[in-house]
Amino acid sequence: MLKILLIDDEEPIRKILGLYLRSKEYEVITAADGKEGIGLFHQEKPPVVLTDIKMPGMDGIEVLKKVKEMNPDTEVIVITGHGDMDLAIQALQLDASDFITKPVDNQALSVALKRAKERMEIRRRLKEYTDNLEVMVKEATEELQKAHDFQTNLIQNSIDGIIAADEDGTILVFNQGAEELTGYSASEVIGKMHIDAIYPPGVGKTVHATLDAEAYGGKSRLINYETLLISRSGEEIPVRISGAALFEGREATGVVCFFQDLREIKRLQSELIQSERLSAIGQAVAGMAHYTKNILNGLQGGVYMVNTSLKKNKPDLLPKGWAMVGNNVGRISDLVMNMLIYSKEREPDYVDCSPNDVAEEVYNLMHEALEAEAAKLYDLAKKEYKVKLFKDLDPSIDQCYMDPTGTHRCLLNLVTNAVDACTLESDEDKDFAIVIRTRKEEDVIRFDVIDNGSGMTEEVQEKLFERFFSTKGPKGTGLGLLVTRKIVDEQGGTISFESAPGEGTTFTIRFPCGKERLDKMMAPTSPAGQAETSGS
Amino acid sequence: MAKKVLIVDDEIEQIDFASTILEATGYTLITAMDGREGMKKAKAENPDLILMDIMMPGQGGIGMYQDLKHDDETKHIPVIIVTGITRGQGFDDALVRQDQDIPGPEGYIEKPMNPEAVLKMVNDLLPE
Repeated sequence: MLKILLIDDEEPIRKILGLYLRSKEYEVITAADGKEGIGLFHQEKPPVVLTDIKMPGMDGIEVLKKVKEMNPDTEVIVITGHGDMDLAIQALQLDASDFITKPVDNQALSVALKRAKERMEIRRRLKEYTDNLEVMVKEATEELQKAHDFQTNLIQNSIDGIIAADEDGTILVFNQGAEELTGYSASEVIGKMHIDAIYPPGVGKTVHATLDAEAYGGKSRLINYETLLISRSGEEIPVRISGAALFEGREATGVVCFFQDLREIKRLQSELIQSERLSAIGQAVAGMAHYTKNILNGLQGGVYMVNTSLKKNKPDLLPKGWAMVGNNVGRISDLVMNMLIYSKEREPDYVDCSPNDVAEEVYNLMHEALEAEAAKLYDLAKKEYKVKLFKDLDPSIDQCYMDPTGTHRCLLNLVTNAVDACTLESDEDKDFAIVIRTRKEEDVIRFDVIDNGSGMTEEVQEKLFERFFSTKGPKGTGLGLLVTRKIVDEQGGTISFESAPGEGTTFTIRFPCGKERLDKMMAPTSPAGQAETSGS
Repeated sequence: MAKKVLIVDDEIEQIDFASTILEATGYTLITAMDGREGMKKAKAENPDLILMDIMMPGQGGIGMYQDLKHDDETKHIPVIIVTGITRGQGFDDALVRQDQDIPGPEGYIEKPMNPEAVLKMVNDLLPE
């Protein structure tokens, strides 16, 4: 209910107007003169004041002035005598809302009040709008602040080190992650240090060059580039960098980089490698133990037979037992040889030699072994030994530079495998043959070891070069092919195979041996080579 | 009558070793170099005991053991299995029996063979 202060010195008018206004649902307070009116105004703070102008003491103009002073938003409607236009104008100049003339016409009063109410409503809306505007501005500011704080927080608390620099390379942003990573505090680098100072000498340049180049994510971008930082204390820290050059329009304005600390990852990696190595060692030891037990069994058998021969005077047992001892000593020295080759870094010993001679040596050695085996079978009145060894050597092959010891070991391992493929996997009555073949292909010498033994299933082929994988149970160590491949790799050669189950296997190794090999051999010590190294 | 022992092994050395151990006992020795030949001789010669390697080419010792125990003519023959693999490390009765409803072997000998242990096991299985 709207409150109206009615000031008039004439009581009947107060009464009549009061009755009328109350009937129109206004709350009416009345005062008989200006002074009383101001007192009431002060007390009740009515939004609308209806005052007569001509009053004894403080007149309506004074009341108007005072009210406007106290609350300029108050709607003051003045009541003037008929023809008092001057006073009415003066009142309007003093910011009265309206005027009505005496005798007061109810309709005119209604209109004046209606207009006053409209103005109040407009003012209220305007105020509400202004207030809202303030709230909105405040909210927007807070929102912006929040976003800014969030971004600052994001940068500051990112686990990654974030460093940004201007176009001159001066560091502008250096977050907590960067502090932890490098050991520098933001205050000692921001605006003071060049971004290159966080890298070991020369690395910064490379990083910028990589950023500008196409590699690692394209031009002006760097994605997952791994390099080193150097900390305040001089420690080299492996990091992965992602970054971008910053532009305003077309103008380069700087660079921002995100650094991921790789120390923990590297540590875990090396731990993983370590544990894999341990499990591989375990596997190798178990395989080796079984294989060695087999050899030990042979040695024990040989010794037992020699002893029996001596004790019980059975001379026929002596050569058999002794051969058994010799044979197993050979097997164990073979094993040790392979273990040694596998376990240590070995520089190939290149000499001028004949590949055919190497092949011939292996042929003779294995041929002898197979003959001996066959002889034993004759002893037992068995059928002829089922594996035959052949050679097919290319007479056009000359002397060349290669590592005869390593090559010998490769061929020996491959032929041993071929023999096993013929004897271990199958009990068929088939004529088994193994061929050692040499061929010349431009600057490459090719050795083939061909057998028509059991062949390999795809599953076996896949696992072929896995560490300590063997199809021979305790009769194999899984070392032979590993050692062979190691030797081939060391000499810059290649090894390949073709195999079909039941039909046989061909292993092929190729060694470079031409002029190229000679050049390569000479390269590390030649002055030209050195100049090139220091120049790059 | 002298008892017969069949030795099955693909390695001549191993046959020689086992033969030398058992020769002095007066047993008659028969040998075979793979599972197929071993099975043939088991049926033809009806040995009193079989000493066989488990790792052999072709069907191997496990295959031969299956054949022996599924054949009415041979299933009664006691078998000693020689192995380079340590028992318990993936090698046990179940592997030899292949989860079939057949008895396991009468004994195991681990390589390197201890001659006294072999002799004792064979003698225990072949009482006079």
